Amino acid sequence: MKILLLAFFVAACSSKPAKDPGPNTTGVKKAQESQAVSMESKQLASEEETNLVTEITFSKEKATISKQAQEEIKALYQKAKARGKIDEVKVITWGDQEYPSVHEKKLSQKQLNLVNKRNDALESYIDQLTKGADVETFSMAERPGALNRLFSSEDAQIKKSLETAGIPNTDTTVKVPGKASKSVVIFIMDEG
Amino acid sequence: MKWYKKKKIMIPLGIFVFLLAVRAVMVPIAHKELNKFLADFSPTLYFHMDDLDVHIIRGAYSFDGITGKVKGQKNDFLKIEKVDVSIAWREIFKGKVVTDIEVTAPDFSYTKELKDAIAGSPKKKEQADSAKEKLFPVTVESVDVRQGVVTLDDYPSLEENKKFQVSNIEGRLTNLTADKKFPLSFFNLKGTVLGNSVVKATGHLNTLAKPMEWDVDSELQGFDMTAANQFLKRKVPLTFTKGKLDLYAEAESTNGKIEGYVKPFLKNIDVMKVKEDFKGPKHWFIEVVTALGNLIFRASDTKSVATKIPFSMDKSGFHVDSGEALSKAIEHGFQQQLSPGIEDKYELE
Repeated sequence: MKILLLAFFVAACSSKPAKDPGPNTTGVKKAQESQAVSMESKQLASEEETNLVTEITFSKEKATISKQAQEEIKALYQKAKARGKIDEVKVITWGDQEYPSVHEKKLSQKQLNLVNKRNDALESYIDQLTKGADVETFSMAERPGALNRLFSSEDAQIKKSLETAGIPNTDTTVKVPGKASKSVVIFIMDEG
Repeated sequence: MKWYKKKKIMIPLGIFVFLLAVRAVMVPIAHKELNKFLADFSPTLYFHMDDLDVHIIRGAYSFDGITGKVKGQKNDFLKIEKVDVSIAWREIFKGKVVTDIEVTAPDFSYTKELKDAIAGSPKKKEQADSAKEKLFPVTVESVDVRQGVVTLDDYPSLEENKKFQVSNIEGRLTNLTADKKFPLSFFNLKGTVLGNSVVKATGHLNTLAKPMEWDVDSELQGFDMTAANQFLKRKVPLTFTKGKLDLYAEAESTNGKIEGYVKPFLKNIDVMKVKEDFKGPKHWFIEVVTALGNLIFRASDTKSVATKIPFSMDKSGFHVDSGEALSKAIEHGFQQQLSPGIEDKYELE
């Protein structure tokens, strides 16, 4: 049966491409965007020794947290609260473009401001939700400066971890899975 | 008072000189003893280290040039450039004396001889425990792997570039000193499959559970199927003329049962060449069946074929939900394309 299954699956990949009938003529609906947390965010959370992580999406040019995103953060908070005392919440936010490449270093002022606004909105929401948890925000609209890199600051470490995990940057040809307009929220528990 | 009569100077100096003397005398003895142990602890496997070094100031020791071979065989199945074991200073402040291990350039070949040697070796767990106790006597908190290589070397006569290999492996395993409050250990892995595509994996272990519980998410994107031809020709047999594979998988092991799924997405696949040398009738048949399938399952706009194959494993064996796999392939081709990516279905709490 396994061989038959393999044959059926592989069978679907024929030697000669069929004539492309063009979009929407087959009535097959396009794939929905995955709502799951991406591998890169999971790997970052793993580096922080937690699995309490979620990824939310902002509308283009907006810094308003959608109802759905609020619900996701709230659900994560409830999970964290059930485990004990929260030590810190890390918020990593992108603009409407990918992380700047080594050549670009930082995105436009407009993008920098947008990320700041999004981070402020998230910090305020999480602060209100958790009643004063320590929230630390990071902007993915700029690369860490020389000093940050030299002293391996938290900002530099997080950005390096995400780059190692494989997030695209503004120079990457294939920007899938992209992180533009997203924020990663990570809850870290108190070990004490 | 002369400087050499001052206790404040002489006591630390004395300790330092004593440690240097201990290091100078003890290290060669320990090195010899460890090599003797590594040669004898297993009836089927032989290990050796070229050098043992102690780094007093940073509280560390390291093994250089480690090799492993099956007794009676010429070739090494394991080569490690360096293993560094150091005190995890960050944990000292939490009142824990634990170590971090960094393994540099491990090169592991899984050979048939090794498989047989392990299978034929009695008391494997006892051997592994005694080796761990001897080499890493202090509790280990984290393990980092750098520039690793794993080769499936089931046909040693094959040329290097034709073997199935994952290279550039970078990995991290943390919180190995899990407790009831923080029962999960975390791992991340990244490597290059057959030199052309990156595979990533991340997951958790609960080493306190009996049997141990774990979950893993993994993905491979843009894998060039032609790079796997030599491997597939031997194992299926099947070869590709062109095509890319994205693969997403999740699995979890709880209460002694493994459950998971694999989601392969094949794009722009071409199987048969106009003039192709077939390995035999089976090879021809599989490629012909393959060539027919495009008309059935392929989503025309993305030129992709995808499915989700749920699987499970328990005491009764390995099970694949073929019905679900077929249904998902049809769904992708005719109704609703499957979403690429992992689904967050399995995760240890």
